[in-house]
Formats: sequence, structure tokens, C-alpha cells
Amino acid sequence: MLINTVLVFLQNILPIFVVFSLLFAQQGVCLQLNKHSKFQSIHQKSDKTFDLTVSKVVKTTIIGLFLIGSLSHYMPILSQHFAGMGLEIVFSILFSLIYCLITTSFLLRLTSSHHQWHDKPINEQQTLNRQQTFISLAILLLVLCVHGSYFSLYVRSLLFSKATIEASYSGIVVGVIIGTGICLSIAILLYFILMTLDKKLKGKMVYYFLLLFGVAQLMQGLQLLEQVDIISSNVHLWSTSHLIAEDSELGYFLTILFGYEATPSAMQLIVYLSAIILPIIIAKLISHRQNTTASLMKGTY
Amino acid sequence: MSSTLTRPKSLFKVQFIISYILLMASYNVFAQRQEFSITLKDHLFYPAEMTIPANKKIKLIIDNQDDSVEEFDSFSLNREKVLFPKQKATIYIGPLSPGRYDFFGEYHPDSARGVIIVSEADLPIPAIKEVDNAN
Repeated sequence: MLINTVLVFLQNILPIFVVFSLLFAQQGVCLQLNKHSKFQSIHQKSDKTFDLTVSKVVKTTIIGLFLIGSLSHYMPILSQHFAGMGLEIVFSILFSLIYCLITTSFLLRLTSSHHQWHDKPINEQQTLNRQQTFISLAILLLVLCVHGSYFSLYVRSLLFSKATIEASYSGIVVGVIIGTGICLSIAILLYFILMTLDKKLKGKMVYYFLLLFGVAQLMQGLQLLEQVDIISSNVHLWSTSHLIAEDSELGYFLTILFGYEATPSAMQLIVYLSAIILPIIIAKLISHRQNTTASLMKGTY
Repeated sequence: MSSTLTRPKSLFKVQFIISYILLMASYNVFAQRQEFSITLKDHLFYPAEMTIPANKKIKLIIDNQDDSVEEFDSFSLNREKVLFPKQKATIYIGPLSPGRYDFFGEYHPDSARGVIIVSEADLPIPAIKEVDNAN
């Protein structure tokens, strides 16, 4: 029971810790960029009000916990809708929403970190900051609900029988403690790796990591639709199970962080690549247009 | 003038893409698939071993007769389905190449285990092989 609790905990709760880490790293990178800007004092003033603060995250987590409770309560009813496909349809919509929000955040961050953004009036900067914070909190809330509700089901299944609780109470508690420890260690390590990478490469790596996390969520949604035959699944293109098995520790981590799939189908591969490439192209086009407009305004184009 | 001429064309393209997606989706939803079934009782899968045809998509009905929630999980099949107590759940598997594909109950992996064997040989319909759950 101990090992199983740790495994179920890692599979369902690790994405929540990873998203915490990614969002805080994103915030950290943004603050670093603002510190280097010539309008440091203006940014410091605006950031305090519109940043992703710990109190906002705690409040969102509390709301998320309530939503997890109600979602897991209605999951059995939900599963009976749409000819038994209700759960897959609802969760694939939620996964797609997470991806859409992450893509919006990615586009906003990449285009607003452009140097021309610092020339914008403070009101506009505050509005952008507010939007980014709101999107980050929405991402957090959705990830909490989607992944937390599955773990909540596991806990409910254990609480159902008194005999199970009495026999393996200590195993469950210790499992949750160990799971939390592992998740916390991975999240902290990931945060510092991302911050260091960002300092060394100066390439806004964290935005790309968050986008990959979003793609991983989208792939989970796609898999749910394939499972109920709404989207056609084809023969597996290849298998890398012998290199990195999906049920291994590394496999778990890569699946959560990048959407690693040992046996992808053609549909999965197309969606995966498109979901990464399209937002990057759109961000580049927006940046290019901003550059052109700014150059025209200055008369140097 | 040119914009008024190009707009219906682009609109037609969008309509065509949406229709194609809907057509594909409806084809999948209403397509008839060969059915197989598994029962979950006392945290054991019956049958624990099942043979399905290669390169064909099949419909798998899982009947959870237990009083607790279980999750049908398989890394090799890319499937993960919550099985609510006293309810039937349906998932689609394949098309798969010949081989052995393990599955398990995520909440009780020590007892709830099974394997789907994908065979190229022609199978009688439905090809469910009742065997003792050797867990």
C-alpha cells in the first residue's frame, strides 16, 4: 500500500508541483527582466499590486481544493453522460483549456518582454501584468482540479472500506508524506535549474518549458478522446519503451514535463509538433510586427 | 473588390475543414467495433488473459462489480479509465501490432492484473478466453 500510494501520488500530484515551480520560475524571470530595465522604479511600484504573490497562490489553492472535492463527487454521474464518454469529454476540454491558457501566457510573456514594451504607458503595463497574473492563477486552478480530482478518487476508494484503512493507515500516511517530499524536491530542483538556465542562456527558457508542459496536458486530453474513439488512433509509429519506459521514474517525469510518449501514433505526433511550433511562429510574427512598427515610428526602418 | 471575392473562398475552406473533422469524429463514434468484455470482481480481472485481433480497433467493456473505485491502467496500451463501483465503462483499443500488452488496476496493482494478447490469427467472435486469474 505504501509503494502504491507513493506511485499514485506521484502520477497525480507531481504535475501540480511542477506547475507551481514553472509559474514561480516564470514570475522570477519576469522580475529579473524588469530589474534590468531602465524603468525599474515604475515596475517595482506596479509589480507589488499585480504580481503572482504567495497569498494569491494560497487563495487559489484553497478554491482549487473545494473544486476538487465537488468534481470528484460528481465524477461518477459525469461518467454516465454522453454514452459513457462524459468524463473523457469534460477532462479533454479541461486539458485543452490548460493548453490554451498556457499558450496565451506564452504569447503575452514573449511579446511583452520585448524591449518596446517598456516604452508603453504604466497603465498598459499594469493591465498586461494583471492579465498575466490572472492567466497564471487560472492555469494553477485548472491543473489542481484536473489532477487533484484523480488523487481524490484514490483516497475515496481507500476510505470506502474500514478494513483497508485499519490495515494500511500508516502505509497511506507515510506514502503521502514520502510522495510530498519527492514532489517538493523535484519542484524546488526544477525551479533552480530553470532560473540558472535562464541566467546563463538568457533565452527565456522557462516560457518554453511552460509551453511544453501545456503540450503535455493537451496530449493527455487527446489520449482521452482516442480512448473513447472520438478521435481516430492509428498504429504506433515507434516504441522507445526499451530506452525510457513510461512507468519508470524518468518516464513519469518526462511525461509530466514534456508529454513523453513511448509509443506515439501519427495523430499524436502531428498534434504534439503543431502545438509546439504554432505558438512559437505566432510569437515570432508578433515580435517582428512590433519591431517593424517601432522602427517605422522612429523613422529608422 | 478582391477581398469580397476571396472571403467566400476562405470561408469555404474553413467550412470544409470543420466538416471533415466532424465527419471523421462521427465516423469514429458510429463505427461498429468488435466487442470484448472484462469483469472486475474482488480486485481481480476476469478473464485475466484475453486475445484480440491484430491491426483492428476493438471495443472493450469493463464491468466493475466491486464496491470501490478502480482505475484500469495500461502504459503499453496508452489507456487509463476510472471504473466506478457497479458501473460499466467502455474504452477502445488498437489498432495494435501482435504482442502482449499488460494492464492493471492502479489502486490494487498487486491483485488486479491482466494481459491482452494481440494475435494475427483469425479469432472466433467474440474471442474471450476464460482462464483462472493467476494473481
